[in-house]
Formats: sequence, C-alpha cells, structure tokens
Amino acid sequence: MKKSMPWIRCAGFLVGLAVILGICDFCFAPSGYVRFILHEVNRKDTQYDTIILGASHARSAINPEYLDEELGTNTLNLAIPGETVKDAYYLLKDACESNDVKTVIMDVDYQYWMDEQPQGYFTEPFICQNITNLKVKTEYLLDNWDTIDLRNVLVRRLSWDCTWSSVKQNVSTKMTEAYREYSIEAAGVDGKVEGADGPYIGKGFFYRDTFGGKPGGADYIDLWVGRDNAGVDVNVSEQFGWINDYCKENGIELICVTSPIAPAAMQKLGMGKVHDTLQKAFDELGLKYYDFNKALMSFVPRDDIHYGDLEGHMGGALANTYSQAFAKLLKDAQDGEIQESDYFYASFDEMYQTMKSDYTKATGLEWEGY
Amino acid sequence: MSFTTLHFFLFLAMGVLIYYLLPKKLQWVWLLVLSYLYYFTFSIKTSVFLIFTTVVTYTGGILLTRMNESSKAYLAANKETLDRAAKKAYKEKVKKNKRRVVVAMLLLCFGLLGVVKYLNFVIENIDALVLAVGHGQYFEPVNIILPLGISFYTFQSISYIIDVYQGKYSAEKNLFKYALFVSFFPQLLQGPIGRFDRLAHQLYEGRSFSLKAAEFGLQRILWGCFKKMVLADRVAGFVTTVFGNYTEYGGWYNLVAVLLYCVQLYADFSGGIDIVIGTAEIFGIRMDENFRQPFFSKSIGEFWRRWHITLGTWMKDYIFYPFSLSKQMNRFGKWSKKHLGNTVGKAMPICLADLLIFFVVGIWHGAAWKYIAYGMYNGIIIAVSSLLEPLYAKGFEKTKIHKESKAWTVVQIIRTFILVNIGWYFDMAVSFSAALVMMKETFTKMSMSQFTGTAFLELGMGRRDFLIVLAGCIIIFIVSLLKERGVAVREAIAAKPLIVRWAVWYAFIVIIFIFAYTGDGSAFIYANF
Repeated sequence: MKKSMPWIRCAGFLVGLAVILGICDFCFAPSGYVRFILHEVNRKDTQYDTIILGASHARSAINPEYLDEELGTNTLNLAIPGETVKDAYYLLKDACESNDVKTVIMDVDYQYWMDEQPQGYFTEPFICQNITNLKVKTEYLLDNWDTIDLRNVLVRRLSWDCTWSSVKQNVSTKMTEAYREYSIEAAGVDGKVEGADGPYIGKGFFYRDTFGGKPGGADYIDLWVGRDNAGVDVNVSEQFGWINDYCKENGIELICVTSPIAPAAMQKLGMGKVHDTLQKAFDELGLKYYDFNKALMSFVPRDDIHYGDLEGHMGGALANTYSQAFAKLLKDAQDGEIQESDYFYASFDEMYQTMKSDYTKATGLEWEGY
Repeated sequence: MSFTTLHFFLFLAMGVLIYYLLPKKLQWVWLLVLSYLYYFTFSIKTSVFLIFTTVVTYTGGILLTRMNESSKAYLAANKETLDRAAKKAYKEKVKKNKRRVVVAMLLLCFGLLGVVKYLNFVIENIDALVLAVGHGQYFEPVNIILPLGISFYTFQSISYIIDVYQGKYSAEKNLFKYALFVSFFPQLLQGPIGRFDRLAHQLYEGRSFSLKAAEFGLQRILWGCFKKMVLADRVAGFVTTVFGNYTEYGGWYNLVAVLLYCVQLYADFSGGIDIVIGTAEIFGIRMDENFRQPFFSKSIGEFWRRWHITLGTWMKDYIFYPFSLSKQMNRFGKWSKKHLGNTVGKAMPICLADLLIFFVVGIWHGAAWKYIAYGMYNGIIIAVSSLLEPLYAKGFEKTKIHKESKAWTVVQIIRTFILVNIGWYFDMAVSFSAALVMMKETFTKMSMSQFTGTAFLELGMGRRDFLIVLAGCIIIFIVSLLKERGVAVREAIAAKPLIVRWAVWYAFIVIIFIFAYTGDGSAFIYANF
C-alpha cells in the first residue's frame, strides 16, 4: 500500500485536474449553437436522410422545409458558421453514425474554397470539441494531432470567455431546463443565437433579418477582391476528396451547390471566374454542381437589399424563395434531364447585362441595390 | 513539432513509456531513435548536416584518442631507450599531428556552419563593396536551407573534440552513443549546449522510472509553458509591429517595444530551456542550467554569466582562455604593461579576449551586421569596464559609496538592465541602421501625446494583455527573487502539505488555460539558430 501511495496520489491529482477543468468549461464556455445542432443531428427520435453541409451562408440560405416538401425527404441543415470543408467531413461522419443518410448537399462557399485554409484554424478544434461521438472525435484527434493545441483537446478553451458577467450568464443558462433539453433557447443569450440575426425556424435554418436598405460590409468584400485568381485551395481540394470518397463508399448521393451572394459583391469578386474554376473541379470528379449565383432572375429573383450583408448572408425572405427554387431544380433533376438554360444564365457577363431589368420583369419592382 | 503542441506531448508520453519499459541496456538506443525521429519531424533533408557533423567529430575524436594512447604506449615502451630530448621531440610531433586533426575538424564543422549560415552574408557584403567601388563581379546569393539547431550541435561537437584533444577524456568508441550525445532531442534545437563529460554518461546509463523526477520534470515544463504561452507569445505581436515598421513609430512606442522584447526574449528562450530541462528530467537526465536570474546582474559581464550560460562558458573555455593564455597574448601583455602602465597593460589582453568572444557571440546569433554590433556593444562595455576599474575604485573612495550597500546594488542592477535593453535594439531591429534610428527616435519623438487615444492598444495588445504581461512579470520576478535568495522553489512547494502544493499546480495549469495567448503560437526564437 505504501509503495502504491504515490501512484494513487498521482491518479488523484489527475482526477482533481479533470474536475477543475470541467468546472472551468462549465463556467467559461457559453452554451452555443454547435452543441445544439450536433445534438439535433444525433437525436434518437428523428432520422435524417438528407444533410446540408456548409458555413454561415448556407445556414441562412437553405430552408430544409422546402426540400422536404418537394422531395419527400427529411433534411437537416448542418451548416455551422466557420465550418471548414475539413469540419464538414467529420460532421458528415458524425451524422452518419446515427442517421441513414442518402443525400448530402454541400454548399460551396467561395470564402472557404478559393482561399488558403490554414491548418489548425481555431474553429477546427472548436467544432471537434462539441462532437459527442467518441469514434468520430478520436478519429478527428488522430488525423489532426500534429496541429491541435493540447489545451484545446482537453477543454473547449477556444470558446471560453473568462469575465464575471459571462460566468454568471453561462452558469444561469446551464442550470436551466432548456439547456438540459438541448433547446435552441439555451443556444444563445436571451434566445438569440450569435451571428444568426434572426429567429430559428427549425432543422438548422434561421430566418435572417435584413435592414431594409443596401447591405453593408463593403470593406470586408474589398479584402476578398482578387481571390478569384487563386484557384481551389489544395487543402480544401484534398479534404473535399475525403467527403467524396466517403459518400461513394457509403452509397450517398453528393450534390454541390453555391447559394447566391449579393449581386453587387458577385461582380466585384469575379464570381464568373470562381464559377469556371469550381465547375471544372466538380466536372473532373463527376459531381453535380449548381451555381445559383448565375440563376435566372425569373427563377430566383434577388436584389442586394435581400441580403443581411454584401458577402452573402441571405435574408429570410429570399432564403425561402431560393430554397423553393433549389428544391424544384432537384425535383426536376430527379424526374429527368434538365435544361440548364431553364434555370441559369448562359454566362455571368450575360447576367450582369440584363439582371436588373430581368429582376424588374420578374417581380415588377425597381432595382434598389447597388 | 513545437514543444506546446499535442503532437509533442504525445511524442513525449510515448517516448517515456517505451523508455522505461525497455531493458536498461537498450534505453539509450531508444533515446537515439527518439532524437532522430524528432529531428525528422522538422526536416529529413537537413538531418544530413547533423549526421555529417556527428560522423566527422566522432572520427576526429577516435583519431585523437588513438594518438594519445599510442604515444603513451610508445613512451612507456621506450622509457629506457629514449633520452629527454628525444621524448620531447616525440611529444612535440604527436602534439603537432593532434593539432592538425583538430584544425581539420574545426575547418570541417565551422566550415559547414559558415557555408550554410554565413555564405549569403559574405556574398551580400562583397556585392555591396563591388557596388561601392563601382566595378567588379557581382555574386548571386545561394539558396541554402539553414538546418535547424546547427549552431547548437556544432558548438557541442566542437567542445567534445577540443576536450578530447586536451586529454580531458577519451573519445566515445560507439558511433551511435556519440550520435545520441550530439542529437539528444530536447536540447537539439535550442540548447543548452551540453558537455560530454557531464551529459553523455547520463544518456547512456539505464535507469528506473522515478515518479519524483517525472513530477519535477512536468512542473518545470509547466513553468516553461507559462513563460512561453502566457508572456512571450502575447507580446510578440506588439514587438514585431513596432520593430518591423520602425519608421512609423518612435518615442514611447520604441521604449515599450524594447521592454516587451526583453520580456519576449527572456520568456521565450528561458521558457524553452525550462521545457528542455523538464523533458530531460523525466528521463532522469539533468542538463546544465542556461539561466540564473540574469536580471539581477550588477554588470554586463555578470549578465553574460547568468544569461545563456552554456554559450558563455563555451566561449570562456574554448576561446577566451586559449586566446588570452596564448604565447602571443602573453607577449602582448608584457608589451602593454611596459608601454601603458601596470594596471591598464594587465587589463589589455583580457579586453582583447573579451572583444573577440563577443564578436563571436554576435555572429553566432546571426549573419547580419546588427548581430555583430550587438556582440561588440556588449564586448566594448565589458572591456571598457575592466579598463576603468581603477577609476571606479578612486570614485568610490572619494564619494564614500559603500560598494556592498543595498542601494548601490539596486543602482547597479537598474544600470545593467538599461544597458541590456539598449543592446536589444541591435538584436531585434531589422538592420543595424534601423537600430540606430530607433534608438535616436526613442528620445527625439518621445511625447506624452502618444498616450492619448487608443493607438497603443491597437498594436496587437489590448489593455487586458498589458495587465496579464505585468502580472506574469511580477510572478517571474517573485520566483527569481526567491531563487536568488537560495530558495529551491519546486522543492519548497514539494515540502508543503498536499493540499497546498496541489493548489499551486492546479492554479498554474488553470492560469495557462485561461491566460495563454490564443492565436498562432509562434515558434521558439532560438530554435532558428
């Protein structure tokens, strides 16, 4: 006994440390949307057959209700702000652990595909920290062990906010029934989820408010000018390959889509070139790719004012229109061959020339954007 | 594989586990495997340089030992037949041959270091000279990758060769054992520069797991992580911004940047060394200390005996003494005593040796004139201080200042701190001329209006960051003060009741979790040497 005492003490120290770090996590880490949506996808009482992967643009753009209505599916929008393609791969695996997924819709966001994605980026461990499935989590850690900071493996440190007011807020939220029940009310402060800018409708979709005028964020857009020349990031390309392979191995249909961004930003950012690059990449992989940036104005009527910001966070009203159109396109494609020209402009140049008048023709409204 | 990644901790855990599971005879082999695996994670290509240095110095060591042994055997065998003169002639001949071997080793090792580290510097300067003269041949810079840790392992290997040459110990006969001495993974990239007689036997002897050693080692690692992650990484942004864009700043910005650089360099380098020593401690290996509360130094000379100690002692043993005790310096000493008087004349050879070693220290830090200036700045202060020693003594007599008084000690410490910080301008500035401009503009652009507004808080450090750095510095100061007074801090904590010591370490871990800088952890500064 005397001989083993140091070892018992050592184990005691580690247990004590785990408890202390657990308390820190409880107090400092806010209850966030990631926790909510990961619980949602793993709910035992619901089986999702269609999963939408992507980042914040996709979360506020695709309302699964319309897809389900048109296609008879049960869809969950698993897009999370900051979700990289690498994250999407592990989220897909997590989703497939508890659902019989038949279709994956990958929202292809220019900000994540046409720019260098740093390895070890802060949201990587952040999303990983919330994955509850031990198998997927372990796989994530093993795959990324050379870039993850040790501290981020042990606790959700990256989301810690160590101020008294946050501790008070976090503890009071976590003591509620809503938190224990994984309700959306507990995923934010006063029921508002950070960055969603609108109410939660369901199945991972938020109805984002717009401000009734021209959207802001021009400075941010300026940072992205010229990236259309960069091509698809090599890391993203590789990571998307994992998703593609996984879908193939498991008989999952993979559909890629780009949700439309504000028309003014589209021109500035050279989306025509981005489209050509992405189309080529998906053609090479033999995958279906729909770029709604060049959707006919008669098919998806949209003005800059329908966006929360220029970079592409769609307002709720346009999101519903777009989701309906997307669902229709998928249904038509399911039913037989589709004619591209029924849904999309032949080129971006053609669209830029006529989009404003086409918009007026389609809606009877004057163009109010930039 | 940075010391603060999950990667390193898993590597270490696996390394330690297998090390203690293996039979004692094989433990050193595993350490060698670990060391090379560790180096390969950075670069497989540049490990060629490490292997080259190892093989060359190993061969040199063997040759020297053979010469020592054969000469001893020859002299013993011919004890009766050889007269004194013949013995002397034979010894001279052997010494000459040994010296040839050492020179060859030095040329090969320093030659390699010189090519990879300094060739482009030489080319740049030749080109600048050609440009100044107006005619001649320009040379293109050569694309060479600087192998990680080359300055450290080259110096470590050279110390071995010179020690063997001087007969301090015999050469290691097993190439792989010697390779472990050169490449031992915790120290490979940023030292401390180990000595064969103190380190090698520890590496080769087998040992059983000691929980106490592991505990102490982990505590030391934790202390290093605190310095690196909470302090060094936090201030790096501010320092890089100001030094990198020095023309846009000046005055208080420069002053704060240089003070923060002082924090960064100390926290980064000594923090890294803490992790190195802690890691070695888990394997039961005690490494030489590299820092001894340097900011309590009362002179620049003392500072260099407390800062990067293993480099300082290397310089002292292999440059300072051989140079200052050489025949030529002896002659120079006599000449200077005759012409400059007894006191100054006596100090002159030492001053010259100081200037030489600080020139080498400067160039060791990097291939740029600013580093040479940094070295010479320190060397000149030390040399001048030695020369002015008699004047100081007279000054004390006249002013009746008590040299041992606490007040004078504090003045000396502050004076040294200021001098050290002036030196950092050369070390961190983008060039020698930038350092001079920054020094000048620290005073010429100083204005209290620089504190109005939030400009200071927009350079990578907010108000909270400044407070955290201040608190961190206070903690380091308290620990240093305790150590300075002879308190062994870890032992003192270990002697406290269980609850107290656990509370201390829990608090430390939580502090690191809460206050460690979140962002791209910068690499260790000295790992680039």
